[in-house]
Order: sequence, then structure tokens, then C-alpha cells
Amino acid sequence: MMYTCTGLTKAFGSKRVLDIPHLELPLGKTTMIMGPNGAGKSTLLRILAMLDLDYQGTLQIGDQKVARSSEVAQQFYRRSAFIWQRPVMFNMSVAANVGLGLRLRGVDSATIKERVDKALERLGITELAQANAKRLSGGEMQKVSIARALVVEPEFLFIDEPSSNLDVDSIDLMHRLILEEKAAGKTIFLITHNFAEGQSLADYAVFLNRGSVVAAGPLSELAANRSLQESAIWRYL
Amino acid sequence: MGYFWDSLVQAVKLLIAFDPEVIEVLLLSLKIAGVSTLLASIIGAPLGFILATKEFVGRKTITSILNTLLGMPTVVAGLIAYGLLSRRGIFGALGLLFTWKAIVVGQFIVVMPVIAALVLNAVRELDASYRLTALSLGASRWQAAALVLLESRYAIIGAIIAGFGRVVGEVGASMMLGGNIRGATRTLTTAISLETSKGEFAFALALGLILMLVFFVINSSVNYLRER
Repeated sequence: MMYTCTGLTKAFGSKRVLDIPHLELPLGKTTMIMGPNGAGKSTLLRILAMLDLDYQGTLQIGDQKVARSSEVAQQFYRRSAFIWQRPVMFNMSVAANVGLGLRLRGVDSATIKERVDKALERLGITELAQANAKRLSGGEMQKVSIARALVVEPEFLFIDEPSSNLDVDSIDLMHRLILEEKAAGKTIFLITHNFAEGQSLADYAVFLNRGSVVAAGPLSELAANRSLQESAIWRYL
Repeated sequence: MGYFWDSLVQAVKLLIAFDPEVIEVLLLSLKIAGVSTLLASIIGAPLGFILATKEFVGRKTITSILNTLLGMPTVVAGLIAYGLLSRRGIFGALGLLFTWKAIVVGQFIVVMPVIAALVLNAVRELDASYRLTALSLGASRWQAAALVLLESRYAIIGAIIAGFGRVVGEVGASMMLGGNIRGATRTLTTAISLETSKGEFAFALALGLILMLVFFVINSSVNYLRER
């Protein structure tokens, strides 16, 4: 089963920032998206996550075509979770922030508390439960955003530069968590600038440059691809 | 300089003695500014919020009109209200001119665009990132709007308080619409203007000090809310 993009283009005014005639990404696997600054990585991730509906082309998940509408996107958000490079915290406690996705899904309070407690423990931030999330350090906010994403037990996980803001121990913890989600069969798309990080987490890779796909395929094949290694894109990895 | 200090001492004495006329003018000013700000908030705050969060035809035009009204001199707002409330105006039959209610109408015209524009700017700054985050967490469009509203609550209250500050210090519309009638429409600013022209500098200075105190409280409140 694949997540397929066909004739996918995106432009800001007259400037085309994404131009992908055809791309197939595996479901139930971890795909890393790499490329230099301005390659279109975040744009592609947002389109795949249906957070950006202003594009041309078609998306298909498995054998289901995805209609480009906010209603369809809204249903998809309930199956997904996102970890941003710069997480946005609501002006409420850490526990309330982590439980927000569950509350919006209509989960009862007792279950929310139980799942939030577990998520905080998983991230090692139980002691921050009652702290105001807006007053945390960048690294702590990132951990809260990871807990907030994982607590809803998403089928799809979209991650934009997961290791930014985190110290070495926290990066190890986050890698462990991503691998646990991967082992559970989740579909994960992650942007990273760190090839070693991507290699340790992903099964599949997409290399973008100036809005186009330079290479895409199983990571083991791409890592052995000599012509890719000789291309200019490789020095960014 | 001696004249100024003597007047300042007299002004402080008037304040300490709770001079009944000073208190009356202060309370009337707060009442008029309070009512006009409340009415302007009921319309201006939702208008600013909608302009910041919804895309619709005419949005840019309304925003441009609001920004134009922001720079409107208060005396022009007074003139518009005067035209509406004077005997030959649309609302002339209500007999509001030269009552405190007329000043409320003038101040409403002054402060409504201020509150709407401040709310618009505060919410617009938050909206893009917070709405996207809320949606990505599974919020419906209404839930996302409610979360953005919750997140911008302090900014909205700050905008309303700033609007109150704008009208409590307003003089042009108050003078034109109220007529500066003692015990009826005399506000802090119109009284300062009148007492100075009468040579009652100490009394005017006492009122000025009160006005500055009011501004201090308003600014402190706005700063406190900005830090929330």
C-alpha cells in the first residue's frame, strides 16, 4: 500500500516551489525527506499532511483518492499527529496541552488523564504536568509536542526536523520513541538534515532539490546508488 | 516655576481633600468612557476577531476603512455624531445632544475602530500558527476558532482597556457634543480646558493629575495582560 502523489505542483505567485510528476511513498513505513534549504521539504510534508490544500495534482492513500477539501482534511487530522520544528504551545498547563487532541476527539476525562500521565512518563516530563506550557524551554516544549502527538495514537505521524531544540539524551529518547511507533506499524514522514539520523530511523527516503524529486526509494538502495552519491545533492546529506 | 509648584501643591490638597467637584467630574468621565468602551467592544471586538480569522469578500475594504477611521481626529467624530444627533439630524428627535449620552455616541465613533483594529492585529498574529496547530490536533473549524479566541483573550482585554484609555483622554467630541455643562456633561478633559481658560490652574492641574493616574492604571493593566 502506497501514499501516491500525481502531478503535484505548488506555486507561490509565479514561483513554483514543488513539481512532482509522480511519487509513491510506502504506508506503514518510515520515510525521511531530505534536501537543502528551499528544496520544498516542508511544503511536501504539509501537503502530505493535508495542512496545505492549496496545490495542484492528486493524492491517493492506498486505493482511495483524497478529495482536496477541508472536510476530508479534518477527518485525516483525527488519524494523524504532527511534531513541528517550532512547536506552538497553548496558554494552559502541560497536561492540558498534551490532552488537548484527546479532548477535541471527545475522549472522556478519566481516559484523558490516564493516557496523558502515561505520555508524560514516556517523555520523562511528569514533573512538568502542571507547569504553564508557554513558560517552558525550547527543548521542554519539543518534548510536550512529542507527547501531544503520540498520546492520540495516530496512524500517520508527520515530523519536521525532530532533533531541533533537543539535547543529546533527549534526541536518543525521541529516536527510541520513533522506532517504537515504527515497530507498531505507523506511517511516519520525517524531515531531517541529518543523514545518519534518517538512516537509523527510516526505511525509505525522498531527496528533493528545488522542488523536484532527485531520488526516491528504499534507503538501502539509495545509500548504494553511486550516481546519487556523485550528485551535488549528496553533499547536503 | 513658583506658579507651577504652588498650583501643584494646591492640586494635591484638592485631591487629598476629595474635593466633591473633582470627584464628580472624575466619576462622570469614567462612566461616559466606560459605557462608550463597553458598547464599542460589543461590536468592535467581534468585528476585529472575524476580520482576523475569516476570509470573505470585502474583508480588505473593511480593514482599510477601519485603518482610516483609526486616524480620524476626535473632533471629526464629534462632528459626525453632532450631525446625527442635532435637531435636524436622523436621531434629533431623541433629544440626546448636550447630554452625557451624546458624548457616548461620539466616543463610540472614536473608539470602536481602535478596538476592532487592535483586536484584529493581536488575533491575526496568533491565528495562523494556533489555528493550524488546533486543526492538526483534530479540532473542528469551530473548535479551532474557540481555541484561537481562548489564546487571544488577554490581547483582546488589553485592546479594550487601551480603547478605554483613548476615550477617557478625548476632548474634541466631548466638548462639541456635551457642551461642558457643569454637573451634567463636564468631563476631566473638558474641565481641564475650561478651568485653564478661567485661570483656575490649580484645579485644572488636579484634574490633570487624576487623568495621568487613570492612564497609569490603564497602561499597567495593558502591560500586565501583555505578559500573560
